[in-house]
Amino acid sequence: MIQYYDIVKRPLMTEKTTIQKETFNQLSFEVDRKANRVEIKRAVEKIFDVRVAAVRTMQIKGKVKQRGRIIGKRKDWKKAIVTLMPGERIGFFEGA
Amino acid sequence: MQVSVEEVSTVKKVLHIEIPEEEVTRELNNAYKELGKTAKVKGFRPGKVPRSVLERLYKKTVTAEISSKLIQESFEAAIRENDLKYIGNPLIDPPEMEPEQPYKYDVTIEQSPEIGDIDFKGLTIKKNIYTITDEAVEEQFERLRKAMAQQQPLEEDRAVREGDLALIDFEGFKDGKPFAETPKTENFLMKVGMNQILKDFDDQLIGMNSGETKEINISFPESYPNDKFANLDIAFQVSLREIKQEILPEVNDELAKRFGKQTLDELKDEIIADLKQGYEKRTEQEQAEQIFEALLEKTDFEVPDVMTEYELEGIISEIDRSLTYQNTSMEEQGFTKEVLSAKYRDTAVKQSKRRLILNKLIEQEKMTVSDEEVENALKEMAQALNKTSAELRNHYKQNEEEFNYFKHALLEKQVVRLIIENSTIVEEKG
Repeated sequence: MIQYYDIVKRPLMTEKTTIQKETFNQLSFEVDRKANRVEIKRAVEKIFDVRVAAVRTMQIKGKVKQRGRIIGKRKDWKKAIVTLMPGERIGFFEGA
Repeated sequence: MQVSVEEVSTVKKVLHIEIPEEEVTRELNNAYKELGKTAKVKGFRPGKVPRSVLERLYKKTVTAEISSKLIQESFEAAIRENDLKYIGNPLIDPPEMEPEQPYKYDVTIEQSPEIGDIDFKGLTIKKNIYTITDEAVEEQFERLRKAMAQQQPLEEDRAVREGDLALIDFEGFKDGKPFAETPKTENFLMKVGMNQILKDFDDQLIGMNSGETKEINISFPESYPNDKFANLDIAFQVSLREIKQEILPEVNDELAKRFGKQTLDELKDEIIADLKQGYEKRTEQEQAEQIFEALLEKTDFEVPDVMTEYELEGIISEIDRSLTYQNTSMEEQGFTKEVLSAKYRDTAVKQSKRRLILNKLIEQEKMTVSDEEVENALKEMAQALNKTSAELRNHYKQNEEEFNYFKHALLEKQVVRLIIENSTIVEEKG
């Protein structure tokens, strides 16, 4: 189990993901940068006990933040948009 | 909203209140709508948070808020619609509110009992006439003498007699070992014959001479008031340091002066006045007692629990106060609230009944207190408290509630007087 949670780091819940969930039954997660689609699919299926139809991944560049003269950069991360099979649900995203 | 009233007793009612589903849903929708406008959730702009997210984050608070709001509104409405009056706090045990379901809950309320008109006229009351006897006065003198008693070392050399004061050191041993409850105590002054510890102890002390040391064996009986000693055999090592005598002052002007009076006669007058006042109070109380006994028999009603509880609380705090005054506490005496409550419940019920009857009579006879009477009572109290009546009036002006209470007490006194006026009084020697 532990390795699954190492892959899927946290669910993303924003206005955009809410729309994606409602229209395409897609859910978004922050995942390990080195994880591939197959691993992510397996992890989500195991953790939430659902069937996954497809996984799309993308590398997100960390935002450059400036505070006074100090310029910093947030870490880069990987986002995965997981499409569930029709009819599948994950309780966490439904407000339960 | 549906309300059904269930009568548990004449003073206790349970209201079953049901709030329809639509109302619950409507209230919940409104609440989430309001909340959505202001709630700040990361990932969402203010006002754009979907209901499902809000529900997940705030469900508990929103439900609790709405249910208490609904309960308050519906309870008030139910009371109004059914034209009910209640005393104390209504007892509500609200169940969890479920969305999309009618909300049902029960409220227990207590009401003042309906008391029919009381026929208080024509009671027969025994009035005990107490006369002040010489013995009673004598007794008071004796008491005063004792209060002023002086201790003097014994002049002659003799053994301890009953009535002497013995200054002793003692240490108690149990099975040859020092006993924690009876540590070594020095310079303990005890009056022989008062049986402070146990009669045995005093008996064995008699006959000892000054400077003598003796072992006194005591077996405490099972019935000994202090649990820690009951059924124990303790050997006391007692050494008598000194024998003292109690010298009672003589009854003369000298004694009177020590109580702030000029002559003995003056002191005597005061004693008589005190006794008289005490007797008067006693007759008054006895009469009141009889009146209530009689009135209680004439009426029949139930007492709401809240009133009984209220009286109980009064009684218990009174006990607590008097114990604190004696430098001990409820815990030390082994009293718990539960024990005391059980013990004094009947008294509390009686007191509540008494109060209810008096209230009813005040209402029935449409009694009021005039300003003049208030004024007089204030003056009387001021004298008793060593204050001016103006001070008291100021105090009451600030405490409306206390003032009402004060007025009520006057009314109660009036009622009692009225009853006595309308009763046959049989005088008897007490």
